[in-house]
Amino acid sequence: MNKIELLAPAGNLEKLKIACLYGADAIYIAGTKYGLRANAKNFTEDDLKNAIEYAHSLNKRVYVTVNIAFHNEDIDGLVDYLKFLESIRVNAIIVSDLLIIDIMKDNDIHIPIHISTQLSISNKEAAMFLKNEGVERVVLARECDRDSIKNIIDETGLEIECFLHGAMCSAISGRCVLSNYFTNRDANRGACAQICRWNFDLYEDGKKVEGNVPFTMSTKDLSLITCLEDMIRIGITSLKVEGRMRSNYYIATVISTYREAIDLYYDGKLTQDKIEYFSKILNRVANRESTSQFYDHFPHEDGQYFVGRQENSNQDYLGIVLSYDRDTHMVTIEQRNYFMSGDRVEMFGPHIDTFSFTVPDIYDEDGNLLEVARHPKQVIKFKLDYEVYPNDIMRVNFLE
Amino acid sequence: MKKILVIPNNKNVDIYLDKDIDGVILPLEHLAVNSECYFSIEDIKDICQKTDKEICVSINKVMENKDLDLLEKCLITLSKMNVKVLFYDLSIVNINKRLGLGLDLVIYQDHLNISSFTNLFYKNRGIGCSFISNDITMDEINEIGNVQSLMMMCYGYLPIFYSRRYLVSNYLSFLNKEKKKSSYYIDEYRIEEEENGTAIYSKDCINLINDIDRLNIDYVVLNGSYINHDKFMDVIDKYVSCDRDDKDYYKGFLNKKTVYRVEDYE
Repeated sequence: MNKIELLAPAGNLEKLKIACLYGADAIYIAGTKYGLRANAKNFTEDDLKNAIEYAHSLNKRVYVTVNIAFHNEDIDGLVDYLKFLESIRVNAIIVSDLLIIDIMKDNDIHIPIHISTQLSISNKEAAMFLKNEGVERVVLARECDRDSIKNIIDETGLEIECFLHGAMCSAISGRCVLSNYFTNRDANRGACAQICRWNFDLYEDGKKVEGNVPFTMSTKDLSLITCLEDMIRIGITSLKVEGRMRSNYYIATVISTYREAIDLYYDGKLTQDKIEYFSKILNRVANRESTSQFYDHFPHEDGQYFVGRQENSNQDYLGIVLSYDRDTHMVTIEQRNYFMSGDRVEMFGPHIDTFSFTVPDIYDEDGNLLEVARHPKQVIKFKLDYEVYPNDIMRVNFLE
Repeated sequence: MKKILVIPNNKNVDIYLDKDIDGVILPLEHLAVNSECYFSIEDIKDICQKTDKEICVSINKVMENKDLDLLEKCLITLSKMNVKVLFYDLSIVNINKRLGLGLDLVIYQDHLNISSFTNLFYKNRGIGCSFISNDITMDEINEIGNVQSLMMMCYGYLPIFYSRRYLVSNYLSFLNKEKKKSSYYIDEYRIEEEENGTAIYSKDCINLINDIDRLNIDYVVLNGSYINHDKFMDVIDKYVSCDRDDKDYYKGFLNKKTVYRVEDYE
């Protein structure tokens, strides 16, 4: 049985490495052109080469987004770019504009095509159209429910990818240009200004609707940890985590959590207690409420986020391991958020089982005893009896 | 250049058909979105029987699996009528091909399908006409018009957002208030809840009366949804008589490019 794919986002090479280390099977990234996050750092051609070499060396797959809605002025350079992607052996490109199918045929370019959720494929007939065009995989619309997903899988035989976790568009993908009309920023070329998260006064027959919170279209985030077992059982090929512009900590936390959950499922050990523990971790990392959205019910008021933009910055991420000395048992970490000696914290990483401990005496780089680690990126040392590895992460305590 | 109307009211169809226009667009009930009114298949049959004007049926919702049975039945019925079918969802292309229906299809994807190559992709698959987006410039439209027959909205409020969610009801429910049969607005943008979700329309009504001679399009579409009836009748007359004026109407992105990189808007 093929294991379901855990697909991670990466906005730059560092994040791709984190995603690989923390358990992603595949990573989706964008070059500096043609992607729907035009203002993320994204990957230069050298970065793309390095990313693919790195990921392939770990037997991970890399998909590159080429998913803008093309204007005529965007076409120049597209053939060369696709040839370049073919030459560096990307595993697939993620596409919303079907012109790429013909351009690849006309230019004898062979890269598997995954259809972006921007096309909002929500039924088996549309999926069959794409299958007949030679498409390998379809990323279904976020609005698909469980039974539709299963039916599309059963009826088409296509690889089906579904969103698993992360932020949601309020609109049907591809059917929103609020950003264009409110800010002149082109939503379908990667510059969405997220107008759906703005607050508005709502007027009813010319009179402002009075309420304790303003109107917004904003949705809660998606989290399908509670549906994970069912998603695997119905035959989904790939589970996608949203967030190419998210932090290293977010990627490490979300990917490692789902990695563990998926592995436990296949080992027959994914218990309700574990799911509740994973939910707790996932709920904290984004600082926004999340729900299962369309997968297991039609979202009404419960799927929306009416509390305004009150997300607090996440201070759970305390530090990242730089090195560990097996002889002295001293760990060196780079600080990310305030902590002090005596705090109960936990360490997680790709090569260790998550464990809790009490922070002992802490020292700076020169061996001076510190009361607190208060400076971002400050290098801190302390004694730790468990062996840890570079890129392991110290965070607040979830286990206890 | 033909002039066709999106009929905003299914009680006054004859009034619109009596105008010196070339055709009408009829949104199909349950399977279309973004319209003030919808027509049943029976309504459409009746209208077809009483006019020689071109009839276009809009079936522009994103189809869900549960829509497919109804969709297939409607497409079979429409294939026996002399109509064009305006579609958003690719399921319609597949059903048309699978059943050999020979439908006269017009792709109508609001904000997608905005390059010549993309239009050629669909043209090469037998789709001979596109309802082109208003999000692109006149130069872009005219280039695409060289490779594909085009319809374009030249008058009306532009659909700029569609959600499957019931956004107004959800908000009012959160406030413990009931949704009335009312018009709702945010920042002067009309927000309409309908059977299949929530639509938002442009703040201003587009009017390209002074530009249509420079547009390389085959169909001028006038959409009467949410427009005062008398005003819309006047607009139709103006377009029929090509009665230009010197007013500075809202033109959307006809003469303005969108931007998409930080350096473009900083």
